[in-house]
Amino acid sequence: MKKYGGWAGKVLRVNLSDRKISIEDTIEKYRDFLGGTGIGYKVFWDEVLPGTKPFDPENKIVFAVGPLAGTGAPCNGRTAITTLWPTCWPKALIGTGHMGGNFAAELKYAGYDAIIIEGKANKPVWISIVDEKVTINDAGHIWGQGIRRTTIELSRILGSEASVAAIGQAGENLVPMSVVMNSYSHSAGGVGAVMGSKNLKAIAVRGTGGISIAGNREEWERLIKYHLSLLGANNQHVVPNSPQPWAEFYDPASRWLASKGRAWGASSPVIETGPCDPRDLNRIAYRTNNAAFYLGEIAWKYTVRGSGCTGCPIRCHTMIKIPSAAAKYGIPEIGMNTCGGLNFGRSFFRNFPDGMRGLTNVEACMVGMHMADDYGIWCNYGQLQRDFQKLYYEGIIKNKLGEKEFKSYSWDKYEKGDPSFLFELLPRIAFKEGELGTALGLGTGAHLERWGLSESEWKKDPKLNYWKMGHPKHHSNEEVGQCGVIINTQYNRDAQCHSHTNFVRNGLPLEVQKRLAEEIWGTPDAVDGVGAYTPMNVGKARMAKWSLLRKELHDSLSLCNWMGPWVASPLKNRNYRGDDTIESMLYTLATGDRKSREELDLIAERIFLLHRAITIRDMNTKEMRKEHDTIPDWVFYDPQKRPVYTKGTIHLDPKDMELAMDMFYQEMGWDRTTGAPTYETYRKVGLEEVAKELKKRGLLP
Amino acid sequence: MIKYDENPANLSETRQYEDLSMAIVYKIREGSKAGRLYQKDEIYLELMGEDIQEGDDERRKAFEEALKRAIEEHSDIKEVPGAGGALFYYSEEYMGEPYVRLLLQKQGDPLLLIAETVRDNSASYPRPIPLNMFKNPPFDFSEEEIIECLRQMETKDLFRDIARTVTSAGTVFLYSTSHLTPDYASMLAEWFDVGQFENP
Repeated sequence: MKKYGGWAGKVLRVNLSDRKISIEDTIEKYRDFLGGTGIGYKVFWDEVLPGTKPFDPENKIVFAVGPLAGTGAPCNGRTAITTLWPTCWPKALIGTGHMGGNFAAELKYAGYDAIIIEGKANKPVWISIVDEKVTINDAGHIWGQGIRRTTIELSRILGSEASVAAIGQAGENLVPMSVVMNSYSHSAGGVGAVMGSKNLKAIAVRGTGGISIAGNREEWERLIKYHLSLLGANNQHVVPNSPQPWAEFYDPASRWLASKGRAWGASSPVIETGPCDPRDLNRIAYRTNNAAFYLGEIAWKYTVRGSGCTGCPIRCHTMIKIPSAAAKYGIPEIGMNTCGGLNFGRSFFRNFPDGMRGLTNVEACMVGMHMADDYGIWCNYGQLQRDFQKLYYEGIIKNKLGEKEFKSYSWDKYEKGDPSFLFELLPRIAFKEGELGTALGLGTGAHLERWGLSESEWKKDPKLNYWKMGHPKHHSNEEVGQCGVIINTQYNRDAQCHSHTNFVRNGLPLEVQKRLAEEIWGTPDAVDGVGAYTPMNVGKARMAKWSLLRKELHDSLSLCNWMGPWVASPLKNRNYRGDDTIESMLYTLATGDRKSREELDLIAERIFLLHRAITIRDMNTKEMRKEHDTIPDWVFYDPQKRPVYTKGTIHLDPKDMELAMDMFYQEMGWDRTTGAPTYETYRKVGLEEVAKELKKRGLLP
Repeated sequence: MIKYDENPANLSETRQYEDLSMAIVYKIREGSKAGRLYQKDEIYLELMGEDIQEGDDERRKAFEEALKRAIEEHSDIKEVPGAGGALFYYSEEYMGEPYVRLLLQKQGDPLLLIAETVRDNSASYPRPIPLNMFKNPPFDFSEEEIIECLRQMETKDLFRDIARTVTSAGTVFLYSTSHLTPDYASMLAEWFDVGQFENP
């Protein structure tokens, strides 16, 4: 068999029921699916029967990385975790969570591209992986502990360089809104309780090997530098947030915050971020400060440094030091995270005594972050907090709780924006204590059902961001019009796709974006200005397809889709072009398997279609357009009743969205009536066996 | 040719340049990297260690020749007139024309600087911009100065197109009514100030 670079070459299978540990050949079985979500979907199609429930022993969890994980490729720290999603409602379907940190690289250095977890241990266990030595160990001493203590305990055993992916009490207690987390602050939501259902507390990995790169070393290093030269700041924002000497453009909404006068005030000595000319590749890490971006200017003086994943210069996790939070609340004074983690605690509150960007907001961030990251509670992309606010301020919580339980919360503290309220709420979610804690931990869909509330009401409220199946939107019509809506119809949880938003939020003027759009999607009309939408066109359908395929490609290669694709750059001398072939160049050089952009996109389409096929099979319907690819009412609603396409509105026209779905299905080669892929489309991407199976089940259009 | 080392006031980081014109190039480039436009007398003072008005003719002449050569031999070194006709120097390798324009406007009428910046943003991106942006470099206005500028702008016809919108978080944004409708500006400001953080 041909020897490839990039991949570690082995997939580890651990059955917790019979404690059998086995090895499979990655290339032989999974090369056509690259890695990451590709391996995850392949395992679920082949091995997990329809009707399986998330907490059944028959459900599996696939931790998988791709051929670029642990290499020198920028932004390669992502681990994809595939399982039946416990917050997907009313029926659990396949989903993936994604964590950064050091787990992906460590897994590769230990010699594995994926771990398939199956069965259920008869008592709490943790899995130790030290290169070839894999053991299932008693977790009695760490069961009941938070993620932080678990990480420390297992690091004592495996050494400080090990990466520990652990669940907290929320996962142990089968709270669906729970995470698995590694490297202190890098989590994947929704997975914690599935691990808990298997009595699996943690996976700790230590690898001492390396990854071979198939291509010429100098060529590889040139490519890495080239890729680095195309990077912007977090989310591939390619212009700075304020005017800089070198910059032709700037955007106050950009996450490229570095500037003269802006400094990491809690570092010693204080470090000024400076202008950060994009040609200086050694200063990429100074560009982003997500604490300052989300918490406000006040965060600069508390910033210690940036942090992030293996191989990523962006450092989107910002470390902050807040002595007042430690003094007032008895929590560690240092914490770090990125968007969702930084916002976790503060987003429960509607106001703070010193304003939404004052010190109390920072303290609420710290309290929420430390508790959520230790108990292992998931926010479902902020839906937990939005639901909580609505339920409280509309009096629903009061109505649904008994008087005793309602009075056990300090609602006066909550209304005043006192972060100590979180000490009352979050433990009860993690431990399923009381009706409120239990209900919030279920996730939106099951929570609404439990309280007899109507999902259709949630779908009408634009402030809730709720989309469908228990989950919110993730970059939809608020910024990317019809393309964003299409993308949000496709998954069984929030879409987690950033290909489109990273383009429209990159900070370049609309005229430049349109020029780039014409080069990428064949027409400048593929993109509109935010809130200046125009009717659907084929460019938007192409952009939607491209965005989805790039997401799956990144999730399978272990490139970060929170950063890529890299089709725009900060470089004026390139007319702000990025490079749409960067993924294929990296893949080809790393693995030695020469693939053009188009060939790699075909693999991405195969992976995306396999997700579609599993969803169709497990829903047992081909009527995806009606039953799955649904759009909430608020997308078509404007509070001021302005006509669609009026500048300043983001609502869309239902008929135009029908056309949009038609055009998208056509681009994908799917049946327009049902929204299901055709036999020919499956065959074209190499999934003829899948098509045959679906045909047998009557699930082809 | 004057050897640069003959100058007692030379700066250690530029000792490597024997030729004065290279020292000038270096000085201008470093200034541009740091966001500074140089005037001739500032370069002279920093390199020659004396006021240009007080320098002897031979040294001044040598400096003028070196400056001329710096511009001729280095295509990135540019000369641009500011308000009042004074000449400024920068390296376009390290400083873009938009930033140069801001720096020159800054030396003129601050009201015009704010208005032109607002108009440019409203026209080309398009977007309103938060008032607080004018506290950052290269504007560096204080809160009081910004408020005073806005107060004065309200009284002048020249700035009638400059309007404000306030987000639900209380942040003030400015826009030009020549390029954005109030409705659109309001929506965009709300998106930049509130919406994007709720959609991280």
